[in-house]
Amino acid sequence: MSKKIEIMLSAFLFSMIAHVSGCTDKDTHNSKLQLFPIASITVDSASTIVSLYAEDSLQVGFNRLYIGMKTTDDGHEVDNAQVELIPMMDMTDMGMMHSSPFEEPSGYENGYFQGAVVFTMPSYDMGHWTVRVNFLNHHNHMQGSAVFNLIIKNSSDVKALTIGADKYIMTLIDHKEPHVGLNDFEIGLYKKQTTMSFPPVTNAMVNIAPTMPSMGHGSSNNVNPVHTSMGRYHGKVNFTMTGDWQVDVNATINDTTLLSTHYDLTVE
Amino acid sequence: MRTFILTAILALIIPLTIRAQIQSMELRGVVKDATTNQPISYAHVSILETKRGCACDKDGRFTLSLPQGEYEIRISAMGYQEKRMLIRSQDIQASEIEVSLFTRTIVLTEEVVVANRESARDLRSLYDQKFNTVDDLSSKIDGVTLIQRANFASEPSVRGMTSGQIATVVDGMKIFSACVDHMDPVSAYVEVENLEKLEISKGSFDLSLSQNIGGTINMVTEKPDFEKRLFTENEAGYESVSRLKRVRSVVNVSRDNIAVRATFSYKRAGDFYAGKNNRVQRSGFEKNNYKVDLSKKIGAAHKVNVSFIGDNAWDIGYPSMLMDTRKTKSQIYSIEHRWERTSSRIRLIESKVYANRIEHWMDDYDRDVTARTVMKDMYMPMFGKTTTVGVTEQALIVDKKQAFRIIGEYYYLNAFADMTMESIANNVSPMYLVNLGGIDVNNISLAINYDRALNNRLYWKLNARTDYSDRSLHDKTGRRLLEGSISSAPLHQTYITAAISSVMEYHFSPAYTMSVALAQSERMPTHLENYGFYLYNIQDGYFYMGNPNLKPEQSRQIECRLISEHTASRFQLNVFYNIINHYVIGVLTDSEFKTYANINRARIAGVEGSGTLNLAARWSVAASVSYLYGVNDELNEPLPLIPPIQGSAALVYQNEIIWLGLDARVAGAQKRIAGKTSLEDETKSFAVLNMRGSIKWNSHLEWKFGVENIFDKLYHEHLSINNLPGRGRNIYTGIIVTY
Ligand SMILES: [Cu+2]
Ligand SMILES: [Cu+2]
Repeated sequence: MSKKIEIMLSAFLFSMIAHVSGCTDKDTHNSKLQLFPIASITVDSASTIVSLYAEDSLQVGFNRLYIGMKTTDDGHEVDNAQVELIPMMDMTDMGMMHSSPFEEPSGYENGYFQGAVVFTMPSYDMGHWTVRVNFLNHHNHMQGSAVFNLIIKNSSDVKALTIGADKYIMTLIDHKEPHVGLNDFEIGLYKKQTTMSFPPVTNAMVNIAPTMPSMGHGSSNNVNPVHTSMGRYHGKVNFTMTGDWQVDVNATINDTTLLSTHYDLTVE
Repeated sequence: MRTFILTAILALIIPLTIRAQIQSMELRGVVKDATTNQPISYAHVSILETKRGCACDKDGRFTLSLPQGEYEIRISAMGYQEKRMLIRSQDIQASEIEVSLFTRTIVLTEEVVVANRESARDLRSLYDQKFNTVDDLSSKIDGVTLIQRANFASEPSVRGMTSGQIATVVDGMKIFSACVDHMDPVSAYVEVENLEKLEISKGSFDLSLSQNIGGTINMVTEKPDFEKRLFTENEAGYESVSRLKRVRSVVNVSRDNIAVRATFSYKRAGDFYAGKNNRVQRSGFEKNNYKVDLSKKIGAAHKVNVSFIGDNAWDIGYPSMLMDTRKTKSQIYSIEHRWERTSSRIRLIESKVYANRIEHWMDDYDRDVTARTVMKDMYMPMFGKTTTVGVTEQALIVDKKQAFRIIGEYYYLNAFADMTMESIANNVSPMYLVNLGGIDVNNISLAINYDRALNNRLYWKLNARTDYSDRSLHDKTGRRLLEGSISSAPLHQTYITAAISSVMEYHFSPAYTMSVALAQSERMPTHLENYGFYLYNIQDGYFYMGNPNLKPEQSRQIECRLISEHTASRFQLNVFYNIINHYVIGVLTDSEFKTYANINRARIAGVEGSGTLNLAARWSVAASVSYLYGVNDELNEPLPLIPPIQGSAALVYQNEIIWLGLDARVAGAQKRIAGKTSLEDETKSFAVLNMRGSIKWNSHLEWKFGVENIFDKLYHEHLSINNLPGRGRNIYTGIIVTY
């Protein structure tokens, strides 16, 4: 509840500010977008400030990342650039590094280059996540990179992730406040080719079945997710009451199961 | 044991029958045409108590010699509406009484609408007992069978039609049950002392009170009596089978143009015992009911009546269900204005405004939830509420040979129900859902009845009705839930239905009548069928989802009746056939849920026969038998909840002081069951014998008593949910004090 009020309040304030501050921000910022600033890094070699935003604090699972860039000399927004994301985890205790699935920023929109990273495990004292942002500014042909140190919270209950035997990775996408009735249900499905390469799986058949373990019943009218783009599958899940639900998800290709798991969600 | 009881009964009956009679009185009267004031030649006068009668002379005069006492007399004449009057010897003066009869087509009082309705009063002439419950009253009507879920108000089924297919109204007012599990039929909110009579129309030949295909049960409440300056009736009673204790009081006070009638009753029952001393756990209840009516006459033609009925019940055990009722509460308000003038062409204009609210709480806190399969380890308190507000307007216009009645009604219904599920495990979040999401129904209807005497022997009645209904959901959670679970999105729905019926009645002679009735009718889905969410149906064990896109059920029906009525006997035979298209049943949507859907066709046919016969001066017998055949043509299986062949027989003795009856209810086995659509199983045949009586010690004191299920049979009715057994031997008694 208080969180809702907070969001509403900040949305209200944001829109007030956007309104008062006039033209300059109006063209470049979308007042609807509620972003959580993570860090800003000045890349002196390219005279650019790179800022990283997310929609919430970063967690295990699917996180949209927003990259805003400004030139240090004239303070212009960088709106025409090539931007790359490289997530990396350094597990010093294990002596290994690995990457994770991600979506390359698709282009410039509302002041940001928007990409996404699927963090596959939480940070811990010997395990550190970074995201490297490489950029090439098409206006001034300056290029550089910024490395952000990130703290990734665990989220086994909210955003779960499972690695199957054949090294497939599945994540829930955007399921923050499931409500009674029909909800969008989106997952991302990726194959772990190497520790550094996680291409999306685009041709799987995904079946879902929500149940309430405490009552032993399911629900009707669910829509199995189908592939939309970049390994994302979109469907619908129907929660017929509040309480603890379990959504079984099963991904197959040609009747071979890639991954079979379930997500626990609490509907309020 | 059996012989002992029979001997006891006979020992009780015989000495009373030979009790000698007191002095006699002479009743003289004249029968006239109400419109022309001319005497009616050769009218027939009969005394219902003694089954004796006489014919009037050419000038409409009659003379009857009777013992002192109280009698109900019936005056009938060819082409006229029969009339019943209560005659008390102390009221009879030396002068003759004058009886006015209306031409058959002129008055359409409910009891006489061309053979479509049977009032419980007709049966009361035989079973002249003080009924204990509304169920007692309705079960006396052929074709009405009660669906039993508890030792509490049962849901009536009329010729195999239930809930949405029939309408139960109170003085014509729409009232909707609040429980989504059918625990509270509307008849639960009215007590016997509230009622004047029960009017039941079977089939959709009478369309004046509701839009339906199965019939209407109208509970007509008793209004204040302007003739009684101060009248009180108090009763205390006991029933052994459930250790039920009851008290009820009626007070009637009148002064000039104002009359007030008030009733109050309270009853409390423990667990009841089925036959052979089988205690049925958690089957008790506690209930009170009160009704106040205030009537005022304004001038000669106007009358205003303000009425309130309140009813509360607690801890009603539902042994056949998963839950018990914790509490119910209903309030029924109405104001009626009536303008009536017998001499004018516009005979009657009646306006009524009403409002009622029903609230129902049920839960399973008294049950062992770990021991069941459905909703295991889970308590699930549920709440339901309906609010109905309506206006009716009716006018009756009569002419010499025809009558026209027009009835307009608007009502608004709001229904809400929700449910919480509380797991007994600590780590499970509580669950909540909305079963009826703030449903709004706005309904407007117009009904007409037209009566015409085609000649002295042939009468015709035409009924027509149209309804418009607009429905939607208001509760946000309710909308989301339902939208999530049905594939067809729009929840808003409007319906228009039309129905028509035509009845021809032919009088071969004063004693023999035949009628043929035809009807084509529709009934809209109930608000539960449209918008119910997660409704558990104990009859098939499935959870149901509503369907806003349901089509109205459509029915075509025919009924033929033969009636023979002599002074000492009456026989009636009804044969009917009903074809229902778009029949509404639950259809599996996946392995766990059913959705209401229309299926192609269902058919119901049946026969009802009944007769009463006066054997000797004070003895009479009555018998009735009915058979119903129902088939679901889509699945090619019998319809569920169809009673087997069943009948009753009664032997009654009565004089001025004592009334004694021995009656038996017999039901055949039901082997035709709906195996695909319900969990019902075959039911064995049974017979139950009852004995009842009442003794009037004097004009103030009456003792009533009886033994039901004398042989303590362990049995269950086919329409008993989960084979809830019938009540075992029940000895009941009551003392009625009247002043
Ligand atoms: Cu790792
Ligand atoms: Cu209930």
